[in-house]
Amino acid sequence: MDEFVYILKRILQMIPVLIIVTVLIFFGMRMIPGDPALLMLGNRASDEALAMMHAKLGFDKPLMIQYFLFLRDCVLFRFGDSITLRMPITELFKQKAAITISLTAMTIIFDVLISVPLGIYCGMHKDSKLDTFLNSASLVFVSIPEFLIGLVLLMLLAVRIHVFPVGGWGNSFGEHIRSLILPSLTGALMTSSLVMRNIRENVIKVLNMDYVDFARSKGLPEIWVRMRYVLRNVLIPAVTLLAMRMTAMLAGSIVIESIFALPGIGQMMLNAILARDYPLVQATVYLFALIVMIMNLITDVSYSILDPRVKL
Amino acid sequence: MKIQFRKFSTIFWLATIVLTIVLLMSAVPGLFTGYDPIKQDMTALLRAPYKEHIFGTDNLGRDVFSRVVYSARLDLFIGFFAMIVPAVFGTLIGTLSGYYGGKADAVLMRILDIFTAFPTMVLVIAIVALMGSGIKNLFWAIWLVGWREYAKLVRSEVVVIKNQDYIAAARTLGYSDLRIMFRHILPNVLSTIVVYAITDIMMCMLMGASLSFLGLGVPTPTPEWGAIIADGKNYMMTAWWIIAFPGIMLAFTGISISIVGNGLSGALIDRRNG
Repeated sequence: MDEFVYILKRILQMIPVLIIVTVLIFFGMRMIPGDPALLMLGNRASDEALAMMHAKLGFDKPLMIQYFLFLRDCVLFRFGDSITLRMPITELFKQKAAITISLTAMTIIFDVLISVPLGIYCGMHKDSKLDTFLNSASLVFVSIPEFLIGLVLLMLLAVRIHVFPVGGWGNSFGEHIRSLILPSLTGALMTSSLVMRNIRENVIKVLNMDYVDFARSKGLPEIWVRMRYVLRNVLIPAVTLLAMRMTAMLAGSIVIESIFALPGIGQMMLNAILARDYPLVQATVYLFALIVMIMNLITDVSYSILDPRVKL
Repeated sequence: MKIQFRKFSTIFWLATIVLTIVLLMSAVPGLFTGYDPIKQDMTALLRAPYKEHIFGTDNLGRDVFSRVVYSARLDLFIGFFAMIVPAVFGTLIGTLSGYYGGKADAVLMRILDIFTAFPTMVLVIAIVALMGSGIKNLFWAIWLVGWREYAKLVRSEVVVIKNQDYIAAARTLGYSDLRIMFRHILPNVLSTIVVYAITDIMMCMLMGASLSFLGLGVPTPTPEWGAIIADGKNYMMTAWWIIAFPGIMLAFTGISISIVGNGLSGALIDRRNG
């Protein structure tokens, strides 16, 4: 019951934040010098075309009315048509979401597969050769931009030896998976370095805890102590970190999708920014804000489920 | 800040050497190359590295080596300038907020909580998306986002320090709030800020390069590592040298800043702990 009240409270708290976000999006775009309609149509646009574009964007109405219309559209998820792609924006999101969601899911899978075993191993064998090596490797991956990692992988594994496709999305399920491997590995390398370090630190910390000594002195087998007492306490902070990185993946998807030519939401947003497709940009920014807030809520709730000591 | 330099490792000194070279490149690029980074040469298009052009030439016949060298200035400038403005502003806000406390502090922390929930890169891209691309908006975006961390970091330290005995002593002596804040509290927070700021230079530089790579930051033909890589991406299959060299420079600079930052922060923490 408490949890239900907490979630309800959090959802209610999201409303004022979302309103601030819509204000920032709306007035932010209107603060740019110049007429968006003119930017979209080009300098040689005729007066009639300009007037039509103004009407289409609602610029012929007073500013406050425009804002409330925008707010209404945001609430109802009715974003109108994209100017460059000439399609309803909601429809576009539906089409592209699957790609971005699969990319994120596969990145998380790689993250876990890389960071959890390595992090635990390094924590248990502190200062071993592999630990020292991975420590330096993680420093490298944190200090290099994602696009560089992506390009290196692309050059080595797709251009030199043709193990993976150079880009695109493919037509069958198998092709989809194959074309997602390099992009998700790109996203995973940096995140898993962070998560691996986090797990390593926590393993070292937990191994020195009294309750671990106590469990050992009770004569429990070492494997049981590690699984039951160490692992669980180590994975809780790791899950939170991973969830936080998942929201950061939204920005990462823009970079990664553009390198690997994956036609997802990130690539669509980048094209919209470059083509000054304002309705699409507004809708995507709003959607990103919404996703981040929902993800944060899920993180907080899952934290209390994983760790009963945390009260919501 | 006195630091014992003998304690640093070989890797630290290697990183320092790399950074010195990059700094030298940004200060006097003419020392390294005689070529103009934006001059096109239609007689030497997409040439692989050879004696005259040691890093080869790009699709417009520009010398890749000189483009890489001239980029150093802009990339370091982005890293430093994008860091320093929010660092100063955030430190001021954090100090004032932490020192005076009260309602303004509570409201500010609430706002910060909301906005730290958004990942930095998502916010920066959102701002660039709304304001339009270009180097001016790139700075604005990072500035608008970057001060959050400093404000939070500084505030959390100031709240602890202001209750220490020596601050109470300063107050008893009748010192003004400004004097207490700037002479007694800030110097004690400084090492924390410096440690964070060094990593932040790297983060800002990488963010600038990433945005330029996407075509949202530094416009062509201005030499900038991310932008050069974006240009060379289309010729990746045939002319690897266009993206390889700026990539190596960007990676080396980023890693070196990380290593130097780690070394310095270790030294600063050692010093503080006695």
